[in-house]
Amino acid sequence: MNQTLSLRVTSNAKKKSKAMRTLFYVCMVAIPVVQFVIFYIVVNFNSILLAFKSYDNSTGVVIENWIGWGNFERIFQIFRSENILWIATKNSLLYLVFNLCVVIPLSMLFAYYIYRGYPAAGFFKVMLFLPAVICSMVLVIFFKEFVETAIPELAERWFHDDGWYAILSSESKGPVALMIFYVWFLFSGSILLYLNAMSNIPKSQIEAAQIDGAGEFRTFWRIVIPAIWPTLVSLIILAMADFVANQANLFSIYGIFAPSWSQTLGYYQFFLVARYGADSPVNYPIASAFGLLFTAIVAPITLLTRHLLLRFGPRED
Amino acid sequence: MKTRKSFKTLPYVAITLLTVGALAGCHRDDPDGGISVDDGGGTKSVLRVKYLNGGLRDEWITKVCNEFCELYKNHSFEEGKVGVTIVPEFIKSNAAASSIKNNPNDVFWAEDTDYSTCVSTGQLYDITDWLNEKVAVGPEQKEDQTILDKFTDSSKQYFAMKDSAGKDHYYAIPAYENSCFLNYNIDLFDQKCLYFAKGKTADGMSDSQLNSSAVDDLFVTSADEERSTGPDGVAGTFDDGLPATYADFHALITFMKRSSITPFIWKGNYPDDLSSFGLTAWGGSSGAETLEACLSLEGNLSDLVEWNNGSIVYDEDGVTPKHLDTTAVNSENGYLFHQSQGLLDSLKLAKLMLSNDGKDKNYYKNSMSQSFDHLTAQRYFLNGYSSGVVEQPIGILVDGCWWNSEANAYYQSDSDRLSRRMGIMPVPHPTRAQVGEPNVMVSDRQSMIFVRSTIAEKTIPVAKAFVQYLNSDVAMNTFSRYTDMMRLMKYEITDETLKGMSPYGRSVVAFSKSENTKHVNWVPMTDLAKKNASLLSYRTWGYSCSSTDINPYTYFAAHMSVTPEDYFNNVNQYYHSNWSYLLTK
Repeated sequence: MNQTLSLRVTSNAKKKSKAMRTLFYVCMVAIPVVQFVIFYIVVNFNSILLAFKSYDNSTGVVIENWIGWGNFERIFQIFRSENILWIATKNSLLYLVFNLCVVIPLSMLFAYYIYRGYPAAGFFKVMLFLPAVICSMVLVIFFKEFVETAIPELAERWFHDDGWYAILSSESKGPVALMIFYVWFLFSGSILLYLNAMSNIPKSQIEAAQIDGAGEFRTFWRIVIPAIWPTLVSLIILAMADFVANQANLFSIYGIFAPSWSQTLGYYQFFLVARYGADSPVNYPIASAFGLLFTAIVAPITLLTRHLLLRFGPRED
Repeated sequence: MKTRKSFKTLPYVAITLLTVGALAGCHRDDPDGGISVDDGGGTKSVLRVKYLNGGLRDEWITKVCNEFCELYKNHSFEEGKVGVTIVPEFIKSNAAASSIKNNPNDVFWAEDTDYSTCVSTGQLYDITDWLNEKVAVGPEQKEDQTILDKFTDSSKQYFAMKDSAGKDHYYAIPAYENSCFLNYNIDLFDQKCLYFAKGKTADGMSDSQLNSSAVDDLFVTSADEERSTGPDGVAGTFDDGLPATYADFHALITFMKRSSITPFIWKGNYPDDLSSFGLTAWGGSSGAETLEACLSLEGNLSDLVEWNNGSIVYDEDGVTPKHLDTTAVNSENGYLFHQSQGLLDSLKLAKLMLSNDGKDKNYYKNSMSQSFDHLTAQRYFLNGYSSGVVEQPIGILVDGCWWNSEANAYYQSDSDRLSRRMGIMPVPHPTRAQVGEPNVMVSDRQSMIFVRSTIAEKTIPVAKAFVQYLNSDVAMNTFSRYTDMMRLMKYEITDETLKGMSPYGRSVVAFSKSENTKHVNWVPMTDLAKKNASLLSYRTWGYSCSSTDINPYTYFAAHMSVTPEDYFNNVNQYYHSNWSYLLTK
């Protein structure tokens, strides 16, 4: 009898404890979950619906009509009759390729250099982190002044060449300048993440490899990369997922007046709305359709890439 | 045990406090937004006014507010209070359309705030009754007119929103008239004798002659010499000696360059002003009626160029475009609007301003740079040469008529501002045959005065009195006196106001009030046009040859080999191919 009572008391205590733990958990996550539902799911669901509607407020009353695939037809019409979306797609691809083939490898190399504490590592650390620390608009203003004022003045004074004015408006020189800024801007965030991942590698592994005669490159390739592979995969996936949304700092540099040769898909989507005035939601439906269309293309590719990278990528063992 | 229980309770308490705090922040009882106000210890009524303090500066509105408070100092708007205190928010930030209702300010003077969005989301107070009463200029005094009497016809059409019974309601009042011009340095023109002599014209000269010293003989050799009649074809008016035709303009540009003057300067970061000027040039060639037809999406157009298979159709001479008979253009064939000869002419003018020989630039070297802002352009125009910053004096600034107010800080003193002579150069005509035709002034930026819909009941009488006073002739003259600009309303400028304005301001008044000037308010004028307001945006309507190539000046600067005819063909190709998608029916 005493044993049964004891068991019942223990069981009740366990249930109560579990209930309290559940209550605690629910209380902790309730606000963020509600926030997520409202500001992510509901908003995005509304955006998805908006892609199939038209919006008119010219009579002082908001009229939304269901137009089915009308907005998508308009996007396909733009593809058929104009070059801009092909140019924007090409530019977005170019930024993605640069990110994957230049920024990521160079970031890793610089992070490895800093991690290994080689000469001037501290200097590189500060200089490469600066874009992450300084306000992005300050960087943009500095960049614009340097490219549009300093370089042309120097070229005219030293080389008597006055063809360097308005670089950012030039179809031949502008892309180079924009790409340099893009790479410089991206560097800082990547290096920080790689450094952090590398710091988790036991020093003994590096030392053991060096004792076994492994050079720096072999150490980097065989030990460091497999160790930081999940971080690397995350950044690759982020870069791919950002393919459509990436504005490449064009708005900061040009406002709503980016030349067509420079535009990316992300900037074009923003331009669809902004060129008619930030206040007017009239063009939100087509911008929404635009986002939905490209998400449907990019999302499966990104997920597949992630799966392949994780499945076939290097492992620490 | 007790300690462990306390620790377990702590997170619950923290979460509860956080939640309560977050929810409490969603509501605000205090319409003042928590800002303390000097209201004479609660004895005066309080009115909050938000004014976008940008280029127009705030001297004029501060004066108007002070005058208003003085006028009503002994008047009671609400029980227990006498007089008014105005709480100003005069900063360079605009009121977003979605948040006006929740803004603590009562009366707004805003720019680039979309009227339809504001009305459709219930942000604005219905001021129809205020507009239909005689304008009060004090507790006892009224003008003979109502505010609505002072509206232009286009403003009446645009700002009227019909209710279900078909009755018009108004929620805002237009603020200022804004147009982009060729603003020239009269002192420099006088000093360098840049005026055409009487009887002289460049018409008939070939391009090579127009690019050579042959133009020198067309200009006066002293300031006293008699000048040509100018674009209006009438002697003794403000435009005497100025280029009357595109050929004259070409000659002037060459002569300026030969006189070591940089012909043009404009800001490079936001090329909107160039598009705006392009619309003015289009209207100057085709007439205000053509632009108004665009804004109505219907009209009979008589200057349409024949266009077929992607290009202009020419006469037998291979140079002169063929023209269509007067054609009824409407929503079905609206792509025809862009076959206007005036549009082609404005493209020729754009090309000429950039370079008259396809090689040398006619504009200041940084004018296409992204970092070259409007203030720098104005400073270089006013003082660049005298301060040694630029190598040559600059003849013409392409900017909106607000530029002189914006550039106020670059004058040495008020007497400097009142003595230096700048003026508006009327757009020349494409051909001699068009000399004498009216100038067109296109006002395309949206600016308006409104009241938030959630204004407190007790504040309505004060707001009404203030809005009425703001639109009285006295206050509008104060506006013009300090900003050198015109309100987008019908009112007379007094002699006293003119005396206080700079020469540039007087030039604006003369141009705006001239019988030879037609005004076009760039707002949609019919229901269908209102539905297509985004299509008719001043930024994109005239010159889109794709959804992103919308500015001929930047396009020509980047592609020097593209001719005006090529660009015209691209524009028409775009509208012809996409009209059914662009237009919302």
